[in-house]
Amino acid sequence: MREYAYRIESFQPFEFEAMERRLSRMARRGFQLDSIGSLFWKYRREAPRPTAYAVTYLPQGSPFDPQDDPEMEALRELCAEAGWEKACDWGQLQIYRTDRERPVPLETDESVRLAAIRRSMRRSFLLPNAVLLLLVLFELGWLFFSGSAEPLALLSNAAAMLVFALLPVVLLLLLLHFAAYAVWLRRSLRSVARGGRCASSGFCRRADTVFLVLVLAAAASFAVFSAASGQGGAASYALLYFLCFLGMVAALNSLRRRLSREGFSRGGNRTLVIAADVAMAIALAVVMVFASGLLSDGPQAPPAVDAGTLEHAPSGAWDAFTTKSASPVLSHVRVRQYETGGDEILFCDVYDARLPGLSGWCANQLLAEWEEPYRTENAAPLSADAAYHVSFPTGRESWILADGSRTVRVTASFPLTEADLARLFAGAA
Amino acid sequence: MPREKFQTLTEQMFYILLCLGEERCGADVMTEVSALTNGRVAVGPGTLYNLLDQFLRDGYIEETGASGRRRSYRLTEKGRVLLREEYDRLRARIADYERRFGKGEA
Repeated sequence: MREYAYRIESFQPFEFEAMERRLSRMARRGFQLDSIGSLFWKYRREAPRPTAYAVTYLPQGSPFDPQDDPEMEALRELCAEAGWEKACDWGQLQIYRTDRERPVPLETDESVRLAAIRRSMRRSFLLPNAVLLLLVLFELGWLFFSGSAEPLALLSNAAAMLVFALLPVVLLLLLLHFAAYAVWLRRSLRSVARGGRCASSGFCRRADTVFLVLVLAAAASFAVFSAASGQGGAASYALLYFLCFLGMVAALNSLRRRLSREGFSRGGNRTLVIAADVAMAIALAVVMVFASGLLSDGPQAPPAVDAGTLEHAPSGAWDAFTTKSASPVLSHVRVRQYETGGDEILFCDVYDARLPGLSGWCANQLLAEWEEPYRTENAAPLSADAAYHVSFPTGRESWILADGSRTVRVTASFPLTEADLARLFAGAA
Repeated sequence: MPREKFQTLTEQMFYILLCLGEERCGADVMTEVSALTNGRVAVGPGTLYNLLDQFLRDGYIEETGASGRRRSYRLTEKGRVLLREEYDRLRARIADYERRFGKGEA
């Protein structure tokens, strides 16, 4: 049997009673709390016994404090006198346990407990969650406006789509946490003013569990849908990002604890962890940029459209640049060709839709992108279901060709014949 | 409504300050409160720690020394005034009670 067991326990700092109940129940089942990590709570297997757990608060404490912080030690000393042994700490939260039958409770004055929780919550809950809320709102706003301006770019970007789907859930969860704390505080203030106890709450734990299940279900659906639509790269990208992020959080947590064990001051510890955080975030961004290229699901070879072979195009050398992006519902390949040393251009955008009806929507988006209106043309000679054409005052012309799943936009600085367009459309398959 | 800070003292606050009329360390305060009240009042270590910290920051007690991890405290003049005010308040309540029901009556 393994010596340690790991559990995901999602409590907010004010849910002390739910935490105490859970830890005492785990002890009766033979699991004593050992430490609290970034994702898991670590339990040590021991003989089942009715250990009582209790939580108290060190409002001025910080997770960056050295392990032998005098304030923490002073509290530990007092608790030891009353028969309580420290299990571990988690930010301002100090978790103690005792095997005594009727111990003096850690907290014997509810007004003092409430004041300590409020001070702790200001630093460890309200401030960081308010910052997170602002970041989520900013990111959602940015995605919303960029998605409105360029919906095709959003739909063909797997990472952006995943983030766009998850951010509202994170926002909802944050708002639920704030609301749960507000309700708890209101009930506690009333109760304590009447000589009662602080309120009991286990709401956030239940909400977080639902959130975790939703995220895992969304991630699994994303992976299955990606793989089923031949977009395994998108799922791999998301999985790689998730694993790198978890690894980064675990590494930072480990660094913080190590510095704490070695007696670094709060300021020194925090500075080093922030520096490591910034360095890792930059490294992660670089890794993900390379990964997005390696795990891209667009066609490996660019569409077979060679500008130099078209009827009215100069037959000299052309430079070609290809960019690709893909999501489980839409892939986009853009090939830009420039005449070497000349002024002629040929741009080709190929959209491959993987949802029924999405191809028509793509064509409509492209038709509305420029001010000049497209004219409907006869699509039959081009082997397409629909064809649209527009000429610009600059002399350039643009065609949009579509069939059941493909939408191709061709923009050229020279006239395109029917044969050219048919070859371009066939070459984009 | 929340209690305004130290405008009135809870039982725990009162006994902690009372015990610090003489220099004592935190652990001794817990023992002394229990002895003084014949076990009727017990001060938990979490409560004691937070109250000592607040009393210290507000100048009602002062740290008089430290032996290892044990710190000793003593009531300041400001703390004595606070304790006296609480005593007067309690006495006033008792006097009101006795005027209504007579001494020793319920």
